[in-house]
Amino acid sequence: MKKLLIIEDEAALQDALQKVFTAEGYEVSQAFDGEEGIKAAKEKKPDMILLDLILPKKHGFEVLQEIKAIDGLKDVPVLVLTNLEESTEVMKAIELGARGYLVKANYALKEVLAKVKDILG
Amino acid sequence: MGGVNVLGMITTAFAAQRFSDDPAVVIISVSMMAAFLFVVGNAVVSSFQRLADASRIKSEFVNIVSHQLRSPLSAIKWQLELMLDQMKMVTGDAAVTMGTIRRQNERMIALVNDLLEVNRIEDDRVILRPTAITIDNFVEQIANGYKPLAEQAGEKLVFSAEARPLVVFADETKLRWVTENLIDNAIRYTKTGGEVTIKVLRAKNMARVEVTDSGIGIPVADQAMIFQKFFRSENAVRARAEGTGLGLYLVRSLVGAMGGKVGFASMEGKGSTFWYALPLVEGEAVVQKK
Repeated sequence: MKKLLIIEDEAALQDALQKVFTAEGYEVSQAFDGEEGIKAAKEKKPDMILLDLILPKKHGFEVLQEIKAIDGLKDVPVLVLTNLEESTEVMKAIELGARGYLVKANYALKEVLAKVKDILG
Repeated sequence: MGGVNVLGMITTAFAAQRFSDDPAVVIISVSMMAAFLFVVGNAVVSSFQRLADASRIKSEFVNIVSHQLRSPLSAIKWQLELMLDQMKMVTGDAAVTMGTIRRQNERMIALVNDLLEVNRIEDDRVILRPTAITIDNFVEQIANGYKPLAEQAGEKLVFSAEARPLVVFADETKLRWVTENLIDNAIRYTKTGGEVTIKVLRAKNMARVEVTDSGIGIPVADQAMIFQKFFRSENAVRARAEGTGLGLYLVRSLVGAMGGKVGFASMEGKGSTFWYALPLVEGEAVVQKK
């Protein structure tokens, strides 16, 4: 069973993601702010991380940067799931090592699921 | 403004010398002109500054509000998707209601996306990633994707390509958006039983895409304003066709940014043809001539 960590502060979005991935057989952990996200990543050692950018306590970019500097986590694929979409943000996410970048409002849950499956192979 | 000041003072000095030999008159004239230019110049500069500040604040405001709106809109979208999955067998009034909620949610998301794009265009922040696109295949694929929607609306959708292949250099995402917008408009403004035709043709050194509908058309009085931001023709509002008045403004801006042109011909009650044309990639144009 693949382990997924979702770092997202919006409860309604967390809930939808958690339901769809659990139904598909993933083991889902949730974190609602940046600091909690890094802590959960260290503890749970997920196979993949879904990361929002505008997060309380620590911005998603800082979370991504820190995760990519931790041994044992730096190779974990991170999919940025945000509602920001300026090219500077997309470029920064990719530069920091994100494997994908999806704008939540423009993607259906099924498409997010397909992207995760595609990255995990 | 410094240059204008100096120029104004020199001109005043010459003019004053022609009318009077008294150096005091010349000095007074030049001083008065300098003071006048200084006051007017400062007023103009500060007005421009205020306008620039207001425009920046408006732009930031639209940006922040649009991004903030996307969170609840995506929450509604995803929760609705879950609900519809759980209620696969829903029929009758409930199905119609759910469909309406979903469409309205998508409409709001599209409006926010359009507002953000308008903001990017006005702030000169549109970044294009052009690639070579075989436009006949590209448009055909998009047109085929719209067949179910046309059928649902009781309309016939016909695609034809008069010349193939035609290659243009354009940003694929933006060009898809432009093409979809024109086809979507054509279907939306055409009544049941009507027809939408999409043609790709070669017009000199350009590839031209034409979308023709047998819809409500545009009144002559409204035609000059049709590409203006937030403009909606009077008969479209009367027909209660959904729209924001941003689509055609974005179509023109994006095609223009990709080096192309847009245009239309329309007759009220008969229908409209909207088109865009993009320069052909030179190598491909040579192949076509052989």
